[in-house]
Amino acid sequence: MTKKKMTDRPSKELELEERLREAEEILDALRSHKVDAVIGADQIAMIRLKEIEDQLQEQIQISSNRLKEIESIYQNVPVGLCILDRDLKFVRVNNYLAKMHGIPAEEHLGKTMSEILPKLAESTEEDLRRVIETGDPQMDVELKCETPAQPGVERYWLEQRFPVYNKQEQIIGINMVVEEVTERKKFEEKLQELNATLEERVAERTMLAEQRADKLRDMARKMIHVEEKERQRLARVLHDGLQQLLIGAKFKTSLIKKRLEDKDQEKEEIEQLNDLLDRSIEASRSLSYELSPPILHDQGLVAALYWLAGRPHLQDLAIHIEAEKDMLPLSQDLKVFFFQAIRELLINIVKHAEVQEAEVCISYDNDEVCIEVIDRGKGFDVENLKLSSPTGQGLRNMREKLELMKGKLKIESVPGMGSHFTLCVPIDKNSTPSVSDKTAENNNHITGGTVSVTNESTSDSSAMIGVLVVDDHQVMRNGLVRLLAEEPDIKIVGEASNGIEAVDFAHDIQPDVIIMDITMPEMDGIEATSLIHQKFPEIHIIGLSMHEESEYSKQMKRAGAVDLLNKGGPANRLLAAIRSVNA
Amino acid sequence: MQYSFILFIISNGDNSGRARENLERLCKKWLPGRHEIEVVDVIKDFQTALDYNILLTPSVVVTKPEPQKTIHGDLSDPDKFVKALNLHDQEKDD
Repeated sequence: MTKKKMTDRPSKELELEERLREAEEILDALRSHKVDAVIGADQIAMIRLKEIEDQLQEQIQISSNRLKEIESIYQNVPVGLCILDRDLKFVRVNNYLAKMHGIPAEEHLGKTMSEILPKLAESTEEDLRRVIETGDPQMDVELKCETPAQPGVERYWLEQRFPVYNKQEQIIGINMVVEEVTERKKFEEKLQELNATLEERVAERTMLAEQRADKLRDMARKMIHVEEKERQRLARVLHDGLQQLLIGAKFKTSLIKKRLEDKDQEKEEIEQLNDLLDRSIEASRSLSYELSPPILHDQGLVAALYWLAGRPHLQDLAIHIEAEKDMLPLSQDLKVFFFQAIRELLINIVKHAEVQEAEVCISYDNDEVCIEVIDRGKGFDVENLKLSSPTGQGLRNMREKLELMKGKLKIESVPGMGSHFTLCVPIDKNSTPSVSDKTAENNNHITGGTVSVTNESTSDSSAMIGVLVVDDHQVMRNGLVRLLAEEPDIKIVGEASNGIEAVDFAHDIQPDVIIMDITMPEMDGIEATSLIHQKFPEIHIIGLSMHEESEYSKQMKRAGAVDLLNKGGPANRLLAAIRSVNA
Repeated sequence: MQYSFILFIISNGDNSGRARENLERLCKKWLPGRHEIEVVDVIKDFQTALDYNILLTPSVVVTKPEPQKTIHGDLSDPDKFVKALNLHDQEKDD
């Protein structure tokens, strides 16, 4: 019966039952992992379960390896790391932090900050709680504490604190990064100390350097001064010694020449000797001027420049000199330096610029003197000026000297457009210019002779011309006296070795003629002439000098001299000038 | 009575290999000399699997005798096989 009933059951029901059974079987197979792949009829695709499983396995392996790596990094990174829970108990601590604390990592776990580092907890717990309450990270928090790892040592830490969230975005703890900065801190402190002392040292060194620079400048000034003194000494040796001797010799030859009037051959030889002497005198004179032009010391830089402009080696160059009228007196050293520098620059222009004109300007302001030497000649390339060339070396020396006097040298030049040199030196108002050189005066004084009166008036003194010879050089005086003694109408009434003596003499004796040297110690010829002329205008005063500059002759004439003659000139001119008193 | 099977597998599948071994062993035991087995690698012949409405491998479709039946899995359970083919009855009949 039942069997029949069963067979009677509708086929639809059977089919459903069959499919249900099949579905259960599929599920069974799947559950028991007896399946290799699942085929999706709808998507027409097949999934190989084995591959998925393998891939999953692989993923798990990779993930676990990564986790191990991260764990290893976490443990061994040279920075302290830890995680605290909401109760500030250690959940995780890396080895580095444990070492920093001096407490094994596992001893931290489950314990609070205050149990591990009570000193540190005091100052940090409040901040840590705030991270948990607010969720705001705290960056670069600096801490100072002592740890069991290094008892008695104060250490500095830098902490970063981040909140840790769970899936529900609730804060479950704090992730901390702790860096030891004790060394850095100590270094910083040392650095600060060093900086402080360094500044002190820099100040000290600067002062020393300044002192040295001052010393150097002082030495440079002294050097220029010594150089100039040496020049003056040489010039004086030439002037006082050689020139006077030569002139003395010349007077002698004049005498011999007169005595040998009828002996032609000897006369000619004497003439040649005379000529040689003239040339020697000229040579020594120009050398003594080169070394130290007296006009520079007597009348200043501007007058010396006018004189320089007329010198033979510069005579082809028309030099325009422009200077302010009321110039302050310059110190001796500065005057000499400027003169030498201008001379060098002008000589350079003659040598290199291929030009007939040059300009020299001297200007002043409150703090400095500036000299400009300008030409419109060939010019040169300033950048490529060879320092090794004599010109370059000269300019370098000039610049070095200037720098030592705190001055400056500016060179401007464009090829084809001329050149422009500017020398500026600050004026040291504290050092008053030394107008004359004391030692030179003293030396002159020693060489100067004494007053002597010649009392050998034998013939009729009224018919004879009474002459007073004033010169600080004995050789010169002797030469003159001998020369004049030969003349029947001339009588030497006295000799003086400086201006003061000359004035006294003129007062006492009142000679007809005074032959007056210009440069003399105590009082020079110009001043003496002026004084004598005011009192005794009838006395003929004839200036006699090594200096042949017109400036001297003008000054002598202004003072009252009737004439100015050159010491090296022919004897006849002197005699004629003396005799003109009777004219 | 003649029996025909189509075994759907994927090559390199562990369960597929086992299913093939099990099927051959069961046939030898129960249906010696009166069975034929066709093996279909689903990776190579996907369409046949779809035609027979096969959803996973390994699966065996019994095409003869009718009605057609499908057995899923690696055939490690002989009872399932025996039950599906009503071999117990036959055995009893034998």
